Amino acid sequence: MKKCKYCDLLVKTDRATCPLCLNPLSEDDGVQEERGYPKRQSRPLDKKSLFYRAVVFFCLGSTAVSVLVNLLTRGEDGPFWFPFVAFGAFYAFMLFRTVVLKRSYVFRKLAVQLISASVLLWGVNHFATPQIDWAMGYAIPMLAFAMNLVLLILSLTARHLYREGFGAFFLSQLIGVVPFLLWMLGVDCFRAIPSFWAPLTSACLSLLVLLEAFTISGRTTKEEFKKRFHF
Amino acid sequence: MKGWSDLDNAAKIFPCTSNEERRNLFGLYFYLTEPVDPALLAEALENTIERFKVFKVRLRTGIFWYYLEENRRMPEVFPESPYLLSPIEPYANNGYLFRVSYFENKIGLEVFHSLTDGYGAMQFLKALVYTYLRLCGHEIDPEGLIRGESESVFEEYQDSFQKLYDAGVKVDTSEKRACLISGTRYEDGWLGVICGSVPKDAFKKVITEYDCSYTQFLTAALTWSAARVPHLFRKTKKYPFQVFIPVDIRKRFETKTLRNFSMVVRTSILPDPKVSFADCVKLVKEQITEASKDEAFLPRVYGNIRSEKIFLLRIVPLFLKNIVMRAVYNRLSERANSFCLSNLGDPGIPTGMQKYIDRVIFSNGATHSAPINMGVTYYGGKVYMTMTSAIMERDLQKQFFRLLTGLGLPVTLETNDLETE
Repeated sequence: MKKCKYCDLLVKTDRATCPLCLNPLSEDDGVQEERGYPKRQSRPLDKKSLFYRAVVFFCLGSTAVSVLVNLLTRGEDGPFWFPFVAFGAFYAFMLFRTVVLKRSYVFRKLAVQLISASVLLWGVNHFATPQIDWAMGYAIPMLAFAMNLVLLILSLTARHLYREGFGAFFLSQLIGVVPFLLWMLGVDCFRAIPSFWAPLTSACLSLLVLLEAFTISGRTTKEEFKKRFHF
Repeated sequence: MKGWSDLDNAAKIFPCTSNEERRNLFGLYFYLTEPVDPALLAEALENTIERFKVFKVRLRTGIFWYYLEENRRMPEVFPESPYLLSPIEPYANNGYLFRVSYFENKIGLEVFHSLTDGYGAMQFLKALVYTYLRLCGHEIDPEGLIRGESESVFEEYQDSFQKLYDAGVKVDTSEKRACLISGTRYEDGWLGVICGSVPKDAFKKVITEYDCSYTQFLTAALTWSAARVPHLFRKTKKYPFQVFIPVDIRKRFETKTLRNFSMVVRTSILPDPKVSFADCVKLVKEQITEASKDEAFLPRVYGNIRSEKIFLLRIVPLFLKNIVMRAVYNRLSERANSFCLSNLGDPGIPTGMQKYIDRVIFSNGATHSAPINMGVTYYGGKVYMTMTSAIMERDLQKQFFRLLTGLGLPVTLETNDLETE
């Protein structure tokens, strides 16, 4: 214990100065006092944050450079290829951010992957081969089909995953239905979907999964709806 | 609890307004007389959490409101971080809204305010330490002071604010602007702690002289000190120094709830160095007495409850609510408090347990607008006043503790070393 003669009080500290007035403290009285707080250490470097910033830099940098190079080197009728880089960078960013860096529920990670991969596929399709809509016709429905199958198996085997990722689970099912709905509605930009079997398969699975959610897993679904939509 | 529950009325604001600078955390620390065994502490925590279902929850996001859901995982214990009240990472702590830590002979509980208030947290920590000491082989009579030894009752989970609500009463939502302390912030979110202890007998003598309570005396001492550090207020000097004092109202309204249930008393005095300390005590006493009357604080409570009952507000999606609530909080509530003084009083520890506990400390987290706050506890014949600060300037603390020593009170200080070694 040390004494500050300026503040007229005792201080338990290893330091030589008073924590209030910063004047020197008297000599220690020799009585051993236990430490009340852990010693200060500088905060460990947040590697995740550093990595995240590196990924952001890489994604934005590659997009910016590709735009510049593409515009400067493109001939009169040369192709615009920078969107491929931009969509790839977007997907890489989403992949790192949601799957590698962020600790969240499995269902949420899968749903985010489904959305970002769909955006990537649609973008590549739109810019590379706009004459055939293979993304909406095959790729996205098949991706949604595979993802929803995985989600169904996971939800049936691990109920806690279903409860935790309830929102993401339903969102994935809705994405599974979208290509078929667009085909049915004959939306202008999707009229070139070559065939409907892939969107139909995906939509059927999504509807079956939703049916399962409201029948076999009806009680859990109802409870989760009540929780999430209570107002 | 039916598996999930709404946040109580007071808790609703915290998830929307929390960030790195406004963590809405507070901490309670028991210093034992022997070193803590982490394995036994973890076992004690697993036993205790089963009784305190109010704490066995995690925060989830709904479409319209946040809610608390039963947590099926078990909480863990952590070595205490030198960074006091650092944000609780949900994934690092299995989703729990509190963190149990240990350091040498100290057991700490840091809690997010959406879960409970100081009273609820103290009941939980007392039960945890009691269980821990029993696991260490000590026989202790709970003397009816340990909540964990009695049955869990429905009232513990209840939002008791709803019981108070009277739709017919005119509400009061007005907030007066206060002068705000500003200064040089510690880097890395460090919080400096200065804990002063004073023998309770000597303190009692002084407050008897001034004919006031501990809280009234401390509020007056802070207000008096604030008048001597005008440079800390910079642009807000013209506003009054307003001390925010949470008061536990469980006894008044006879409830056993472990969720937030306190009212707020606020003193408002223009900092004037010419006002003597005795006059300061008189002013504070008058204001606290007036503000503690039912007719003074209930309209404010009704105002908070009524706003959550407005249908249009209820059906607004949560992300929009967050934006609105944050803006309203920043504009009104955040500017209304210069300082927060929270007096937990005597924790009520059984006699047989006291020989294993050296001291009990309460740290009230600092916020963005009120970067210095104080938590008070009485234990073992001493009054512990813990000032937590997010800024490096210690002028207010210096004035405060020098006032106490000037009144003849023997003060012993302990700090967390404030600056880097």
